[in-house]
Amino acid sequence: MASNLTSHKPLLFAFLISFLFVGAFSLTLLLNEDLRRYTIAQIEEITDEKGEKVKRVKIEKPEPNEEQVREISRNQERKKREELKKKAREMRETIYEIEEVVEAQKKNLKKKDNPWENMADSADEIAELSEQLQNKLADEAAPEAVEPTQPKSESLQEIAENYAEFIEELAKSTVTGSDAQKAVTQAEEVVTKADQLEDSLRDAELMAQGEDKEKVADLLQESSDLTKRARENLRQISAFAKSPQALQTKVEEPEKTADPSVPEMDLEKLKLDDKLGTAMVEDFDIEQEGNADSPDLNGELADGEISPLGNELPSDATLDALSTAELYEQVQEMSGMVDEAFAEGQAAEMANRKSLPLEQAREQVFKPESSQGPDLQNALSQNQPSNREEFQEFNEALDSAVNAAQQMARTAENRKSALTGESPGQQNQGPSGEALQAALQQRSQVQAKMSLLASNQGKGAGNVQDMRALMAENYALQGSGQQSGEGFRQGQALSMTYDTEMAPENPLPSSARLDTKKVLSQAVPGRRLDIRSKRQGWIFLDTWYVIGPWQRPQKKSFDTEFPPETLVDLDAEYKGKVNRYTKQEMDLKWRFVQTENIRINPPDEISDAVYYGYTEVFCEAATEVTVAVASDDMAKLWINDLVVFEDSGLSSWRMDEGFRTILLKPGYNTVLIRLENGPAVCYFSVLMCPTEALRN
Amino acid sequence: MPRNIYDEDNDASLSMSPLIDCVFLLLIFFLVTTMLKKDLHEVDHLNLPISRSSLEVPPDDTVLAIAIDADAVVYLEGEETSIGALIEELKIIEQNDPERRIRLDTDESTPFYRLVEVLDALSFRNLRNVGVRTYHEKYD
Repeated sequence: MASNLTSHKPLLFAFLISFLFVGAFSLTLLLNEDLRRYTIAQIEEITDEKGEKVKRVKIEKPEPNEEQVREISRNQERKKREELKKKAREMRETIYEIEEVVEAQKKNLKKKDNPWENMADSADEIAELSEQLQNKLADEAAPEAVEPTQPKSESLQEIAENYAEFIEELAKSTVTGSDAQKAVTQAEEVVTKADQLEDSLRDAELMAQGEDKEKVADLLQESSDLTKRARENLRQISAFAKSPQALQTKVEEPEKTADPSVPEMDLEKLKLDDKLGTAMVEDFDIEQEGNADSPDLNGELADGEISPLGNELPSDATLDALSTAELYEQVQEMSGMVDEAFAEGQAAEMANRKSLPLEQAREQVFKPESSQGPDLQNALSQNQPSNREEFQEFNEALDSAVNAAQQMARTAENRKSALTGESPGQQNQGPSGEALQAALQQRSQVQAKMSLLASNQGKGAGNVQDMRALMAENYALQGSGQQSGEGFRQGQALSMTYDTEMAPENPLPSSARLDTKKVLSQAVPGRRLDIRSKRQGWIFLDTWYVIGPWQRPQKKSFDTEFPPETLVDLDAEYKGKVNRYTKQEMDLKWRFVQTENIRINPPDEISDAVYYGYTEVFCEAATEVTVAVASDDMAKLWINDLVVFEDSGLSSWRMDEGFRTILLKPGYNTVLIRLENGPAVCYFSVLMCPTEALRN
Repeated sequence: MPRNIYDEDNDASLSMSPLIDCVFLLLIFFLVTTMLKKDLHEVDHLNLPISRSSLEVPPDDTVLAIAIDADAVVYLEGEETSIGALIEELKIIEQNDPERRIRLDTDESTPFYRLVEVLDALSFRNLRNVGVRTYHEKYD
């Protein structure tokens, strides 16, 4: 007899019963949708974006309770607050640095308010021009016909130099009435000599024949430019000598004194009744306000640093105490400060460059407004969410606050680099105070020299100007001697105190010609220059961002400065020229232009308009290049914010209008061109070529 | 009469080891066959062009997604951005990781000029590891 354990029957029954159960259940599930819905998963019916009804498995998530939500949101907030704080600190540093530069620029401006300094500058310019002319006349390549003019040119140079030195002396010391009179007499002498030289060159032109005639004509043009300048200078100085402000007592240099406010007060008293001084007096007011705000002049305050321009910057302790919403507001506020300081810096720079009163420059300068991010005050202040939805909203607000802060910090950094010429993210401790001021002053001098060389006026077609040394000097001033090019990979730093390859026995030719047909057929498009490349020869810049048209200034070319000259922002939108038909200002945006053609034609070209083109050029190492800019009609070219070429006058497009030999930084170099169109068509072209190729 | 082997074994029990084996096998099966979809930073409203020649590339966390939609709006990692900001970002990428993979998602009707503009910006910044994403029935 089988025991209970050996019998297989119960097992079989059990199998059968469970099989039946499972089978019946599966069958019911298969046949009955409702049961499926309620047993395995909940299926919900939703309407998707296209308006169709879709069935979807509903996934139940456990709803966290209020405590948990709060806990999560607190953690999240703490994390994001740290990031916001970091950005706020970065921005604070940037603002401080920007304002230091602005302050230095303004101080330079005040120095210039000593009118004798301006006179000295213009006298220097005349001396320099006469020296250039003398060198050209003494050159062996100069035509024979100009030989008799040499003694006159020599004496002009000598007198101009003496005059410049004398004025320089006056600018530094006490000026009496007789001194002023003496200066006028000397200026008159310069004009007489310049006149004489011009006359004799005119005679020489009559005598010269053939090719020489053209060369003499060029020299004559230069000489008459010089005469014009000398006359202008004479007019200024004689008017100035009669005015009371010409007579000044010796002014102590501000940096030599312990307390900067004292000599400025003296100056103020001295010049209160002087028209030129009005802008300056207002400056002092600003300064005094700033000082009143900051009892500690070094700005090292425990709770809140005072920036050089008198803005109160939050200290670390203040930042710690702020709530997230307030922190975000603080970042937004600082972004506004960056804009203000940047505009002020640009105004000071413009006032310096164009010798304008600061007030006027402030009115003229373009004030860019950076985006201050979305308004998140409400969303951020609700930092006590009680359910999932509220938490999600709060979290999104935190995320966008951090993103916006990052964007603002980056914009601030870019503004700083636009102002100082340093590359963004460069961490070297820049010079401060007096050193910075001196560097800025030196930079503006170099830039003034460069714009003299850049101008194509009075220089014949195909003239070659060498700007390498000046550019090297400028880069060195910007980067304190040791920096790598902007945006360049680390580890490839290059000392910018550039040891030039300009061998004296192998000078650049004074002029060159281009075979237009040959270049048109052979030039290759590109923006990356490589010395080792097998393809040598002319490269034309083929890719540009172009914006325009603006109304062309009527009086003087390049006179009105439009926003791109202050700051290139490819996302910006501006109001341009008034449309002839709709009578409304056109909306301008940067547009991408890439062409196979050397001559670039701005989209929507109209007559009597101004366009800008922006691009970048890359080179691996510091490269000497010769640039040929051609335009119909006028063009001005900046490379790395330095004026390199300027051609005014309604000229037609000619490939070899003028050559400039320049120095490119390793890495990315910015190229900005301003194109002015008179009547009819408008083109421009920028060609580049390693200098060696020009010689061959 | 055969000896009943169960007679002496009064406390019979199920062995757990095969059960655990089975459970592990199942677990491994699901682990291997489950595909988790990565966050591709996609832009929802893009209608990718269809291509039969496209290849499947394994997803990569470091890939940078740039998308351009039919209205020529540019997206970076799924977030709307502007050309100026994109160029800024590319500058930073070039400095930190010039070999980074870049995926370009475009709509069927993206304006071609915008595609050229973005490609040119990438090429000028020496970012050459660029792929274009298309739709392939087999993979998507």
